[in-house]
Amino acid sequence: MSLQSTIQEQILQRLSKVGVAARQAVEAALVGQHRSIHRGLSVEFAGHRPYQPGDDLRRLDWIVYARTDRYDVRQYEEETRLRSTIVLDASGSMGYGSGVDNHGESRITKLDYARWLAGALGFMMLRQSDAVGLAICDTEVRKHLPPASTMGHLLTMLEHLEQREPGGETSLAVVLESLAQRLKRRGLVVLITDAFDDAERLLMALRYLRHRKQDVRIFQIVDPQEEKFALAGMIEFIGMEDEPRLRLDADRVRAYYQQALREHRQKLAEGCHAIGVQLETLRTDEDLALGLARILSASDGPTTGARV
Amino acid sequence: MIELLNLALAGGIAAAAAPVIIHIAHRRRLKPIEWGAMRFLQTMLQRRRRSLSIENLLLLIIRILALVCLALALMRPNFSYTAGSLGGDVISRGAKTAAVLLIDDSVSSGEGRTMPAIDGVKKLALAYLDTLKTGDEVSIIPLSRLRAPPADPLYDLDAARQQVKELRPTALSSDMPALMEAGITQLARHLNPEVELVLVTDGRGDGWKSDDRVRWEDLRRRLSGGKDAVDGSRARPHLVLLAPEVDAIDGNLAVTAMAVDRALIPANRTVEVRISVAHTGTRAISGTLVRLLVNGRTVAERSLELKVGERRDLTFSHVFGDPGSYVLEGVVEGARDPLAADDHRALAVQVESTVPVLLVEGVSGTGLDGSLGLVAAALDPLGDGKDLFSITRIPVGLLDDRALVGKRVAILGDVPALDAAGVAAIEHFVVAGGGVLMGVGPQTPVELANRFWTRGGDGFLPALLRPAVDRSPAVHPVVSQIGHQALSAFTAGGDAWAEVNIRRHLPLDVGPITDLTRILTLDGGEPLLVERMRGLGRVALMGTSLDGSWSDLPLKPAFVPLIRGLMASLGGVVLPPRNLAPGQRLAWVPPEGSGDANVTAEGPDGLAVPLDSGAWEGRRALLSAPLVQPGTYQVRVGTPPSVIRYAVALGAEESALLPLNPLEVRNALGDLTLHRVERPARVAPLFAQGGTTSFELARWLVIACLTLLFIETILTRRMIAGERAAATDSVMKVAA
Repeated sequence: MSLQSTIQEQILQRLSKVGVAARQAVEAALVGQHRSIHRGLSVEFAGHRPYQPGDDLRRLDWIVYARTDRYDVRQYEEETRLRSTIVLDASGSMGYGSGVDNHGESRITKLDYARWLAGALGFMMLRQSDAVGLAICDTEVRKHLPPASTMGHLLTMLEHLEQREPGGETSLAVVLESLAQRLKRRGLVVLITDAFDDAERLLMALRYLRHRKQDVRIFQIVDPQEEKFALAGMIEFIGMEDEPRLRLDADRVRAYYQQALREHRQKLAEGCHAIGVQLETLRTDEDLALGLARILSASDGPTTGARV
Repeated sequence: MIELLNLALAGGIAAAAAPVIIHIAHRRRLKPIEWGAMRFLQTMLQRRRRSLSIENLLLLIIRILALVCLALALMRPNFSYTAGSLGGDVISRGAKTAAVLLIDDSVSSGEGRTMPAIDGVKKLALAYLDTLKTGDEVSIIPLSRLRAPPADPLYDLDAARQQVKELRPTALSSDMPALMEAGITQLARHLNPEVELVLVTDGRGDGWKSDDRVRWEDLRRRLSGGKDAVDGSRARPHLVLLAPEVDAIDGNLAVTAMAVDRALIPANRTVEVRISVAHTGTRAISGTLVRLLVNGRTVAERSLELKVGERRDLTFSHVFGDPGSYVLEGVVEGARDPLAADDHRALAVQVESTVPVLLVEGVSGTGLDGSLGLVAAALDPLGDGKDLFSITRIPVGLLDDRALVGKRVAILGDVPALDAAGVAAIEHFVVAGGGVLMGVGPQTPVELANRFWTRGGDGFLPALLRPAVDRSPAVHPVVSQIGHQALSAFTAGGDAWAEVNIRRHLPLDVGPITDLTRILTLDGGEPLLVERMRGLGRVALMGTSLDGSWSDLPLKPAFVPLIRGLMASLGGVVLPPRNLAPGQRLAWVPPEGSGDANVTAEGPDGLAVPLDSGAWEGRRALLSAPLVQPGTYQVRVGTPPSVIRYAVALGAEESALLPLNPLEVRNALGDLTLHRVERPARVAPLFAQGGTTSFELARWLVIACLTLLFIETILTRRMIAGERAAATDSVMKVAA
């Protein structure tokens, strides 16, 4: 067995502690994948793709044009190592979960799902030789591991992911601004969160990150119950971030709640689009492997920024 | 003025609290859950809290109002106002009328030589019905149908007229309070707001019973409005009396009573039959004949001359040849008075060949010995069993149910403690109609008797016993209840009791027992011989011995007639009763172990009277419908048939035929307004249309309720549509 596969096996075993789903997700997502999913300029030729308006004309492969009369652009495997930081929102609201695991025994919280996702992404990045770091936060950064590209570092990351329990209020804007100060070099920030923060403030922080030459990608983790609001009768809503309790008739407020939720998500999506931040949504009832495959396949197309 | 026509449903207003209760209950059933996305609930609340609260409050108010309207509609509020006084004795009808006609078709309504009074009653009732219009309700309640099941009011006035036309005089005695009670109850079945209670009589004064103050007071309270208002009506009903003005009759003869001089009538012995005849009116009646009929055959007759207002008892002697059931009839012939129905009267009697008597002795013996030896001699002096009383002597130890089978009277003499079976046997015997005479003596267990035989008034013994008292000098009995059946052989003022010496006795403590008759007392006033009804039978208790050990009564001449009189009183009860009043049912109880096949009954007119299976005093019996025709009824049992005769006799009070006394009516009705009309032509003018305008608000309240429910539906749909629009809008925006 090669060293790489030995390390991969160890990582997968470690991932299994985070969750069987995460390990299965990585295995499934890597099936048939290219060595690198981050494409750009490089000395090592990677392949062709059809020309699209805006592409650098110098990258047109005139030989292919002469042979086939098609405008194709040459692609090269990136040469430089990417420095990524996974930012995990571990605030109280991430502790919410209405679903069950594969055994149908316990709830899958958004934080559980986020942990699996963070582990899977970390492993995938290391596998393509990128450096990956971790920041776990709620109202402030609780744990910060600077990016590194060793498998041992990944094991440390996974230990921290495993130990973290949800708690504290959501204050992503403050956290991201703080984090932006620490990230000196250009890199990728992967934010895994439910994004239950003030949309304006969050977008302002994201702009700041972009200003600091960080590519940002957000994975918004959503619980299906929070979307559907499939509740009935009088409910006493107990906040998970020390909010005052609310007594409401679920049937009466469902539509208005959903409207507020959708407006928030719409504002966030529009804002992200405007500043070049890609926002992906994953639901906790969605198979993690399928979700990752869906996102990775979508990343194959041309983008304006970095891609995981 | 607004009045509620159906106060009974006032409780329905409480239903208005239902939405509030549901709302509160809904809010109390809170389900707590942890929720992550509180931010959006708070955002939503910041925008919608006010509108949600207003919508909730509005819906709550609308639902409450809708229920209040519905509850009020069920209470049928009636709004009325008087446009102007019409003056005079006029009843204004501003709305549909609910009328209850109470018609007196009693005995007196048959009065009249050419045209019976009932015809005048019908004309008045029909004139009243003519004042009603389509949509008015009317109930016809004649006296003869008071016991019939209540019927719904009629809207078909022609049917009501037909009912009135079919009325006939009956044998019933008038009972105005009963009619009024029935009318008030019937009003509850009516719906129309203008309520009229109309009493139609023949103008005679009988049956008002104004001295029955409790009953009339209750009626006045129910008729006077307020919380005791007429059932089903909030309005004070208009009271109308349709009664012709009649004069005092010129003369009427009536057989008012019949009686036989003894309770136990033996065969082949002369008995005296008393027929009481009374005269009312202003004209003397002569040339009349009074006949005594036995089973429809005249056995004696006598001419009669009565002065104005005179009452006379005529006594006839008769010997019944055979034992059995007889009907004696007293008939006045040639009276030519206006009321023929009271010219005859029937009395059913049972002639006995023998009366079985059981003697239960504390000290048994034969001949004159034993606790009841002298009693046995008094009842059957020759001891040959041929006397009226057939006696059986047993010691107390043999007393049980079987010993009492077929006996009419049981005499207990100086018995010691009875076992439970013995006490139960005696109690069953008395309750079922048997007679018991108990004489105390040296062996009587006073404490035991008080505890188990008297049982504080619930046992068979009519009084408590006190410890024996010696009297020296001896005391004498005194007659306390003159005319009692047991003393029928004693003449008033006789000195038969003065020679009786009582040396020792057990004082009888009657205490709180009130339904007790003192037949004899001691000359000091203490009760000596008392009698009390228990169930259908009677029990007599003698405070001294019946064997001569405590007194010399058994040795004195008074003893034999006293004992035989007591036997007649205790054993002369024939059950079920055969002398009935109009309206009562004929009952025949088959003997134990026999069926009721081949039992038929016929009435005075010779027509069959249907008998239905039923129960009389807890026993299986055949019962007729209430009997309304006076005279003789016969029940034929078996083949060849043995005949049992029953008699239905009129109430004597109907024969007076006095004109209606306005003062008596006023005493009965108090302050209640009564509109009286004497002639049919004056009935219509009593009622005027339009003096008072009134209309029911129920329909408007129902409309308001429906409108509110419509608004509630619109609001709810609008809210739902708003919620859907909010959801759709956000989806569209997200999609865009």
